Amino acid sequence: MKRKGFLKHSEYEQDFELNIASVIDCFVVLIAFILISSSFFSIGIIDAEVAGASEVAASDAGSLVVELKADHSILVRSSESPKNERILPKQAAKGIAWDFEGMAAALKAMKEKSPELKSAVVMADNAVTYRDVMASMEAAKKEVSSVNLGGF
Amino acid sequence: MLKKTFLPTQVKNEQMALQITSMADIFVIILVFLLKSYSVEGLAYEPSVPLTPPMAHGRIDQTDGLKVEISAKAVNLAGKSVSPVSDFRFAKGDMDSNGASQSLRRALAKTRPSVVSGPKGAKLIVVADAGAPYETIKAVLSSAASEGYNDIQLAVAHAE
Repeated sequence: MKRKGFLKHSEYEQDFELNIASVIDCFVVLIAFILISSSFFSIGIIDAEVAGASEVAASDAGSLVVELKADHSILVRSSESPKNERILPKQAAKGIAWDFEGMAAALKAMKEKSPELKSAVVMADNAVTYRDVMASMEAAKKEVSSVNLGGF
Repeated sequence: MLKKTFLPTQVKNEQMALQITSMADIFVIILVFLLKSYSVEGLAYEPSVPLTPPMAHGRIDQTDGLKVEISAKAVNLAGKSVSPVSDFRFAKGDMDSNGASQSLRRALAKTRPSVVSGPKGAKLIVVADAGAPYETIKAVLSSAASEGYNDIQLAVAHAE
């Protein structure tokens, strides 16, 4: 009998396979965990310049003011002029809806008229939802760089 | 010649190996993709109460801060319920003359010394459900402002 050390290379060569079933199990568990934990959401931040009531009134000077009314109409005015521009709600498939495009157009027109107006304050009636307030802020941001919350 | 069915059947090789290498590759790619997407897109956050914040294009801010969560049933501060609300509204007896919530003010005042202050002052992140009325948001913001929280941020679900 030959000593193992003297065997030819081809005589003791073996086929081998990695058993990666356990690794697959781990991956499946990890992926399932990540997908199930979809209650996690990534948050973005919007700055709300908050001030007391008197300070808000003072900060209104030199800015555009957007007021969201409970009847889905929007009042847009500049602090320079007391004249309001009323944006009426538009008809949508699910009933009446906010006309944020009209609001943005009104803001643009006012800004072109008075270029010194560089910020806007969004106010809303008590019944207006946070979703609509955020949507109006988002629409206003397309025309005005600084949009703050007000009315408190 | 014998019929084919009468021939002794050959013993088949019982050992079989599944070729799962390609599946492993796919899992690795999915896993890496999921992990990367969670780490890059803003601050991953799980609210302590069930709520759905509004979608908006907010800026990404990786710095954390004290969070006040507004849901239909409770207002939580740092994960603890501080003000019971009914259908997003504070109890009338809880409101002061300035439109702020007294219970929330007390909780904010208690937490104020331990809150990290940024350049603007004490930071507070408001995480509110999209269906919350502006009345409640105003009450929370008013409570925070009156307790000296000057850096108030609104958290939104980060839109793509």
